[in-house]
Amino acid sequence: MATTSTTRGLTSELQKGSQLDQQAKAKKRAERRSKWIWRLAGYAFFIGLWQFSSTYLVEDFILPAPLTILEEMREIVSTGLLVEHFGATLEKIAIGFAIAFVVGSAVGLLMGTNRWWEAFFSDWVLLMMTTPGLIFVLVAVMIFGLAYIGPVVAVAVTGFPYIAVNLVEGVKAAPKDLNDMARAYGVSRFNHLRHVLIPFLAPFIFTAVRYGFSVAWKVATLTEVIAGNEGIGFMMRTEFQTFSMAGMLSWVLLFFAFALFLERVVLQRQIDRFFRWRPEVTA
Amino acid sequence: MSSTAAVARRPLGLSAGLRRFWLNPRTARALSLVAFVGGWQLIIPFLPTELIPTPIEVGEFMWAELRTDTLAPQTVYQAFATSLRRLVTGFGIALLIGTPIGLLMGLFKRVDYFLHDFVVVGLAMPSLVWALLAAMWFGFVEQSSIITVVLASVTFVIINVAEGVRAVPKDLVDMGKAYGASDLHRVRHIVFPSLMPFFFASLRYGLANGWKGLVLAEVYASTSGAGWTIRYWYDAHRAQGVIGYALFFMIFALLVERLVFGRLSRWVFRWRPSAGEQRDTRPHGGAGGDVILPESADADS
Amino acid sequence: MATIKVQNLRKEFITSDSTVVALENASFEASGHVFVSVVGPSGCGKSTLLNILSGIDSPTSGIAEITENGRKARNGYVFQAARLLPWRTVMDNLLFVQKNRNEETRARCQKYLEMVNLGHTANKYPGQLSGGMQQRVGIARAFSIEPDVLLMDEPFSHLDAITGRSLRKELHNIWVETKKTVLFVTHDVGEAVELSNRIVIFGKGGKLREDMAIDLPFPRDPADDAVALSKANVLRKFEELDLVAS
Repeated sequence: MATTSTTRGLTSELQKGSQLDQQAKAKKRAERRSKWIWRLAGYAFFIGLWQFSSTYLVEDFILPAPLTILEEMREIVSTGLLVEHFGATLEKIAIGFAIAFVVGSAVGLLMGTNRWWEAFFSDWVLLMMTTPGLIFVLVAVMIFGLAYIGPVVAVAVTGFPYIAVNLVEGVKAAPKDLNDMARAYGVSRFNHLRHVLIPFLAPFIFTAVRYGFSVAWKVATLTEVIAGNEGIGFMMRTEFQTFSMAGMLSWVLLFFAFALFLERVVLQRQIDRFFRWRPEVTA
Repeated sequence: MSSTAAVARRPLGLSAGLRRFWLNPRTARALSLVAFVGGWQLIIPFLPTELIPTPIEVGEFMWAELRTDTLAPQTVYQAFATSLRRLVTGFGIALLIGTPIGLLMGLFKRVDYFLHDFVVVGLAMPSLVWALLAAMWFGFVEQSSIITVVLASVTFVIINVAEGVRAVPKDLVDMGKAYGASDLHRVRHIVFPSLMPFFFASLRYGLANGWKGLVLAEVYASTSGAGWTIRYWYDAHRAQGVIGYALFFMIFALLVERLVFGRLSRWVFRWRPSAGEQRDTRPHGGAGGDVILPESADADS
Repeated sequence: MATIKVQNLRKEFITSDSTVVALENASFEASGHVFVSVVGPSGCGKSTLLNILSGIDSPTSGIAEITENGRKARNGYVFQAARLLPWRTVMDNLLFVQKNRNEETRARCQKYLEMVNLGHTANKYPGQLSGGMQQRVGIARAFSIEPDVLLMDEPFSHLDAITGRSLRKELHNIWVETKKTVLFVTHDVGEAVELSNRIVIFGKGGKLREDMAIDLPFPRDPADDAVALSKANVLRKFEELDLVAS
């Protein structure tokens, strides 16, 4: 039975509690504001530096002013060139990456669970990762010429080792305690795969997809630069050959915006949805 | 392995020896080489072009190159030496520039907010773009290649140093303080070693990206080096040259990986217990066995 | 009636520079409605013994089997750390170890959750529960498959004293009610004396040193004199066997 003094004690405890809570919230808000201020400051500084350099430091064709670039970009978007060429590149990436993912996962799982296969593949996977993509592109171009399949193969070949390596890392990090638990309870292989391994591997798979995808962009673009007749890379090469810095920079920036969009919006959504079981880490 | 009445089995005679040969990982590696060369030879008639040389033709080319008998302006040794020199110079500069920036970013949140998005962009930027930009800005000079390396690798240095600073285990630092260790002592024995894995990551990714950028820069804006030489062979329509050099690139990468990274990381990380050191003595030999999934066949036996 | 049979059991681990003997020629048997505690200093092979009995590991030589009327028994295993799948709900965690997922099974799982007073957490994720609650889920999981034998590896060692005490009480009641065979590994002699009617002592290097009965009546209050005396006896045994120090 609480006495009045205890009740008073409780109330002041609650008040103190909510005071602390409010302080914490205020701190969070201040932190977020600071973050945005400094972020914008960074952008402002960068653009200012750019404008300054392009006006006073170097000649216009070496570094065009920001506005020139903006104008160029607007033109590219409005004439539909953007959609046409991005679409072309995207298609090749999608197919090539799908192949890389399927083959890479299979090999990665095999390598992670079986020492013999790991020995068999590991040198090649390492080599494929460290060899500059240019090499694969040159060989692909030599074999397939300007055909569509060239970039697809190049993307598949360069993306594959990233997927495989990340999956091997995942399998090797396998949660022994959970695996033992499943084993002790005689859980079927299928259920083990479905409820233990795959959820556990999910973050590794996502990392694999992230890396593999970013590599895919680069390689597809590179193939187009070297020997393509459509796509972002092709446009970049054209601008490069005509020494149009404004044009090339515009395409580069547009390429960026698109890659960021894919990464932030598409991939991040999936990742957030997948990991809602994670306990919140409160600051 | 069923827990009912498990008894040790003795290894059998000759067939066990043969079995052990096939199951040995070293055999696997040798076999993969055989599979590669064999696959290559077999696939040639199926390719849409007649330009692809056989393994033997490429082998001859590579052998000639190794004897410095070449038509290219540089021997394979000179070409790779040039490229390596540029890589090391460029990466050294990247380390000089990137480390202080990374330290600032890791230590001060404001600097992090200021620079964060640019670092993200820098990481994602294809090295191709750096190569083209450097080529356009500096033309056909040595600097283009080196600057490409700097641009391609500096963000990796920055982000790994920043991550490393943020990840310094606070409890160890506090322990140092509690025992009265001086600042310098703490930095040397706690901060520095715990930075090592990140430093290594920066080395690995930074060098890899720098290397890729360098090769491209040599293709577009240089007159020497390994990247330029492979282009030389490409322009001359000599497929043996292109594929031969591609293989040289791979061998180079393997050498660097084994000699430099392998040795270095083993020495730096010698305090780590190796994963999987404890192998238990199962009665059956198990080089080809599954390591992860439960052998559910036994669950009902 | 379940029977645990260990005969001349030996387990070795090979490391890069030596061979470690985790269990050396252990033999004992237990069956029926009995609570057996396995105690000993760290490194005496207690966990290895459980791993072999449960099928996680296999012996180097010897026999380790658990049978129920001739056939292989169903074991429930409770680990030191709860070992719940963090990405599945509590109910899904229990369902994970069942043979099927029909209505009847679900109802049974719910019943065991309620038995450990966690019926209301069925749809929560382990990350949302405290350590003690997670451990109770682990216990509910072990019981929910209605095992013939319960294997427990220091299940309360990571919990605070109060939670541990109430869980010990719960465990005891469940054991009395379900009349199972329990093999309980612990380093806490007091805990062993409180819960078991038989204590098996292992020494360093995996040698089985002593097999003693604890004949006090249940339920046992740890504050009780008789229990304290029994505990002192066991500790004295430890000293006799030279298991204490160095």
